[in-house]
Amino acid sequence: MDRRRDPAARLAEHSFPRPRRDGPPLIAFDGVSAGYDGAPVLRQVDLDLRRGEFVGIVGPSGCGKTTLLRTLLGQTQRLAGEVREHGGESGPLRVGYVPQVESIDWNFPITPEQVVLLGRWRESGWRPWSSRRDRALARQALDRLGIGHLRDRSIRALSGGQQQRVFIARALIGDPDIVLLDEPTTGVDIKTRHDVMHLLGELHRGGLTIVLTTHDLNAVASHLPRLVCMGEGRVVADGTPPEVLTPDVLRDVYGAEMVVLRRGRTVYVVAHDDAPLDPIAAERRHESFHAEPASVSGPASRG
Amino acid sequence: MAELLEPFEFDFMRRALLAATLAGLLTAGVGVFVVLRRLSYIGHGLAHSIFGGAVVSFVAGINFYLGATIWGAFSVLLINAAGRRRQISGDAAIGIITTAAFAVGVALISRERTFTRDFEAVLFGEVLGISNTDVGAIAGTMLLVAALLFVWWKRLVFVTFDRDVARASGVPLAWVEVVFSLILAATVIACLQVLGVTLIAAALVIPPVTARLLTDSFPRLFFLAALTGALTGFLGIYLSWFVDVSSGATVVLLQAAVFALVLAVTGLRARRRERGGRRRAQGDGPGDAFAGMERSPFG
Repeated sequence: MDRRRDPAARLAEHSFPRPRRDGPPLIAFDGVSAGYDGAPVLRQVDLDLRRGEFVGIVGPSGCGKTTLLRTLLGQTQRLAGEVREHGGESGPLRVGYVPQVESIDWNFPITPEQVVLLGRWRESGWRPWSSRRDRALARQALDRLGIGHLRDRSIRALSGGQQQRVFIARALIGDPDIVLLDEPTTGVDIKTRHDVMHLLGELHRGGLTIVLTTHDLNAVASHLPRLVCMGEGRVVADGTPPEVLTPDVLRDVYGAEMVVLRRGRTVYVVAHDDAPLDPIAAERRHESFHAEPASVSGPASRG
Repeated sequence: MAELLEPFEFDFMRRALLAATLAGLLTAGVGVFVVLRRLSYIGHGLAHSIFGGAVVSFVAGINFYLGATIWGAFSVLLINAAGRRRQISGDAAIGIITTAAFAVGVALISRERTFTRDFEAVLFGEVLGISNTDVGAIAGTMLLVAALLFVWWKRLVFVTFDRDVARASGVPLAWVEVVFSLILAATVIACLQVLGVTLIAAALVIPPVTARLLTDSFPRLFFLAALTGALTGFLGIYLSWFVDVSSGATVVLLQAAVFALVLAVTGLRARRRERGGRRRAQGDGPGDAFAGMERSPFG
């Protein structure tokens, strides 16, 4: 089959390398319970994140994905357990954070360059203006992400993908050990999602450690080297997409039957209501996604 | 001509013009952060709260400026703390804390009926009766606020734009809130004599919103707002001499008029751009196709 016309083959091209799990963890959660106003959202979470990893946190809405990121940032109330951080030789762990684009006030009068320069607030000391070196660094970061020519526009005038790149540039200008992204592909169109994931892939190949949360199991999560699936504040599964995206795990966390189609490391999840009950028909239906017969697992196949 | 220069012949008018110019500049500069933090109503609430602080200071026999600043800053911090609770929205927090602080003042007044201090001046402003000490207090506050804004500019902008990432990047959020609360409280108190409790909210909000209609750049917004505040402060007092209307009200009405004018002009420009865009889309020839390209956000 022509790979250019095969969506599965094209998706597989986006897949990132296998997890690199060597060396001590950058961040280790040891039985961590955390939440807000004394109420736990995360419960007894054990998790380690190592240098060079690219990890996706998945799970239904309200399962604790964002709270996990906020706990990594030290922004929640820790009720039990311990979070251990191991920074490099340069001192404490440097964390870059890219928030959900929905949380930003797009009417704020600010340019991409000014947004990126906020990431150097510490270095600019007591001066309200930025040094020539910081401005050069900001332009470098924007050029690296291909939006240097937009640096003086209003942030509002940029497309969703360009805005996302501005925030990634701000995270990168602080030379972080790890970058956390909260739903980087939510609310963006398919082209922007593709661009953002490719960009993150490039940054990961360059050695950056990345953790992101996502709702998109098929276009994002299934192409990441490692997934952590959460349900009701607990880590339910942790491993590669084929290990995590199984009917049993998905039923456990989403409370619904799912059909999982597999080809090698490529996984495709379909809600049971959307899938034909007969797995063979499901396979035929999704034939265009696969050059060879895919393995299908789900409620009907178990029966 | 001599008639036009008449207001400058009087000491009290010269003091009033200087005080109103400084107060306009100060409230507008600080107001930029108030508006962008979506706390436009805080000026109104805080001014009421400080009325309570003024009465408490008077009863306790402590310096009005010191007592009311502490009272006001404490109110802002309480509003911030309450507003962070998930069940309480920001406007509800402002409503509860500032009215409670105001009520303390009212309760004290109703118990002590022997007050000689004129609280009407605090409520409605009395710029024409302003003393050199009051002008000095406004100028001193402006210098203090300018120094704090200078040193904390990046932190304040970062927290205002993106609070979560600012915190994740190590910006000392609690200190930023304390500094902002002090700046806001000191500004409201210093300008109370000029504008009064009831009009100060407008002076905090109108010039920044007017400037926002004219620019998309934060530094330019700050300077345009401060300039609008200072000019309308000066002109408002100057005009009040001729029209015989309360000075605070004249300043605010002038600011509102400038806002309405800018709103109308920018609205007309936007409509013309829209019409040009529609015509281009319908293919009205090369002349129209090139018209307005410089104004395009991607031009």
